[in-house]
Amino acid sequence: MNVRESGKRRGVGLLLLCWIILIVLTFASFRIAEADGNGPRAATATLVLGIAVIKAHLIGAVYMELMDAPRVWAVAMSAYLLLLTGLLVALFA
Amino acid sequence: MATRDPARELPGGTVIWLFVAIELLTFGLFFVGFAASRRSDPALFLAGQEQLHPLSGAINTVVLLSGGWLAARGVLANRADAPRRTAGFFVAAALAGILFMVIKSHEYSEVFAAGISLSTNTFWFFYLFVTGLHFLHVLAGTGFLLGTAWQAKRGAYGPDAPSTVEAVAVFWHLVDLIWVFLFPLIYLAR
Repeated sequence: MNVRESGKRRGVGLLLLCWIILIVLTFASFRIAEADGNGPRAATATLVLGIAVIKAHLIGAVYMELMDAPRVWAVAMSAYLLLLTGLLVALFA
Repeated sequence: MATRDPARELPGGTVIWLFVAIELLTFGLFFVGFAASRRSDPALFLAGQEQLHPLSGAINTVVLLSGGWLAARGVLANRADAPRRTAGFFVAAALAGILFMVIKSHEYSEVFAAGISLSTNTFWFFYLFVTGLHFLHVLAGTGFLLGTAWQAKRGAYGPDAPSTVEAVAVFWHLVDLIWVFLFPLIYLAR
């Protein structure tokens, strides 16, 4: 197996792992919201938005390949996503 | 991903990433507007959310995330100089986009059948406007994926000319990323 083939396999495996985690997190957030009923729940909002920011980071790092991009782009994206989520959670509190 | 050149560079080039930044800032403003409006009238937003189907939102999330995975596999196939596989993955990702639009259209048809429009109230304005804008992005992304798949099959790309394939995939992942926030905001967070 040459270096390129080895790298390709790692890439394929990482993508599959990322997809599985994203699906599990989607199912988890759906179940959390369903279990909590229809009333206003700040804790539920915090949890599902927290899961969303984890998913967004995974998409950015793995699918969009920010983990291999210039550091400034990855940091800017991460900072923005955390700021946005913090603002949303505060508004739902 | 591990297959990229060790010399750090942006997949798809800088222009698509500037576009991503603008899009994320724009949708971020809509998200904050939604949450701020909800804060001033939570009962109105709860009543609107109760008319939606979180399960269809969850299914659409799985569909879009799977489309994202397929597009990322297409990028890898292009780097491995496999044009037919690149095209195949991009067509499969486009099919995910089409499935998303079918499910969303069904939801829209129920909403419109109930006599709801952009002017019904603040919740429905945000729901129809923001998800409608996202729907247009899915439509555009599906078109880009199909066009790129057609060109890839003709051998237009490959490891030495990856920019278009990567840029289209980045756009498709942006569509994923926006929905990852839309789903909990509109369907789940109460």
